[in-house]
Amino acid sequence: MSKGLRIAGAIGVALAALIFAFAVGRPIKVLPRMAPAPPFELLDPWGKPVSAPREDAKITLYTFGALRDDEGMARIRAFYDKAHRALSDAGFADAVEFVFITVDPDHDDPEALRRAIASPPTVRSLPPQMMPLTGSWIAIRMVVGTGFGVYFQPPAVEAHQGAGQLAAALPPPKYDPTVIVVDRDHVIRARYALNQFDTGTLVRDVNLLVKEANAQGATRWIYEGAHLFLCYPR
Amino acid sequence: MNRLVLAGVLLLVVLGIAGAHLWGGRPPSLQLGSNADDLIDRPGSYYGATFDPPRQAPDFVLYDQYGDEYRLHEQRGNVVVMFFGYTSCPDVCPGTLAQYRHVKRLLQEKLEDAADRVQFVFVTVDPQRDTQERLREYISLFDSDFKGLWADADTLQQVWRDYGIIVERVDAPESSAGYLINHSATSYVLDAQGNLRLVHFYGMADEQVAHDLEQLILEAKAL
Repeated sequence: MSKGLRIAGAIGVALAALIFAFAVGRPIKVLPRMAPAPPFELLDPWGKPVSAPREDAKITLYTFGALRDDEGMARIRAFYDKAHRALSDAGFADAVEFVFITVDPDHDDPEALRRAIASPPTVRSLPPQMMPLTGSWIAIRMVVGTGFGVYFQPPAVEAHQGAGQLAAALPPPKYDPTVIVVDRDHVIRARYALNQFDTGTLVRDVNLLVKEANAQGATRWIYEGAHLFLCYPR
Repeated sequence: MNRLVLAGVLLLVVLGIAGAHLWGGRPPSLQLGSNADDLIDRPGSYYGATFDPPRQAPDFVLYDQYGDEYRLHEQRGNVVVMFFGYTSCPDVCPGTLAQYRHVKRLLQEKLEDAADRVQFVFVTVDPQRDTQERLREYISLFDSDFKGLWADADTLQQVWRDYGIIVERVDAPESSAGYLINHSATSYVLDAQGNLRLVHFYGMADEQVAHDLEQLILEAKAL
């Protein structure tokens, strides 16, 4: 065997060993690209359309709820307080934005959202830093249910109307309290059950996303390799 | 010897990938929609995603390709399949209308009165270019019984918003069209009572779409 071939072979073996070590040792970790987040156009508290994806998007934490669901709103407020504090302490406050999408669009119109962010902190208010969004009931079902895959069950309007109730008097929809993490490219990267949420995992995940987003040149390829070899945090 | 080295390298690469999958497991994914291939033919089973509970579809008044008013609530009694697109669309819209034409034929093979029971509706997302004449010409390429709906931009914008349709104009100076429009590629299906029942996603098989429509026609007949 010629010397050149031996060198090439040695480089190949070294490279393969490196790939093997990379795959097993996972020196770089990434969050999985779970699915594209749904594109949408919804309304903000001033009735202006807000669309996604956007070019200037940040890492976004989506939560879902109904303003008149006191228990659910208390959970969302607690989530926001804990998450915001933990992310600020870790230096990621500016890297992340919080979005709340109502699952109760018949009740939570832009005016209701405006009241929720303007009122002093109560069980039904939203932190002013959290962007609340609403839309038509079809848009909400398509974005929240079909797009984000969050279970929610609106009340049967006709069944209640038969009993003489108006749509506004219906109970709020049942839903799965969830946080979904979407990266700057509008891809879903993580989801947590809101009642099992822990700030350590959130900070770790945001840290991974920020590092990956900042990777340039050859490092970018290493991150792509990490995706190929499923180098996910345990 | 050369072959041995090559085989060794390949073996290590394969081991690396296998190791990653063994250690890391499968990448997580979201289960969206319900497109089970093994769905059996039974009432109440659909290939499309269902609106549960069903609810009255938002009403609108637009104009068809013949200049006649088209009031959605007057279509009760028919199953309505609604798609949002534009006549300069290079791919999804002609593909969807061609699918509708085939689906209609499949339904006619099964149900004699299918043509009278289903209405295929194409709502423009390009009011600037899609005039009545242009829609008439375009729709006739597929089936003149399909409805091509248009109105002024403000009226259409409200309809798009009500139905959660994304419409985004993208300049394409290199194209003779001048601009393209990114838009939602889903079809909505309304039952004979005007309730929004199903969403069909682009890429579903013609037979699956036909199956769902047949179910809703049979349901309407049973009322």
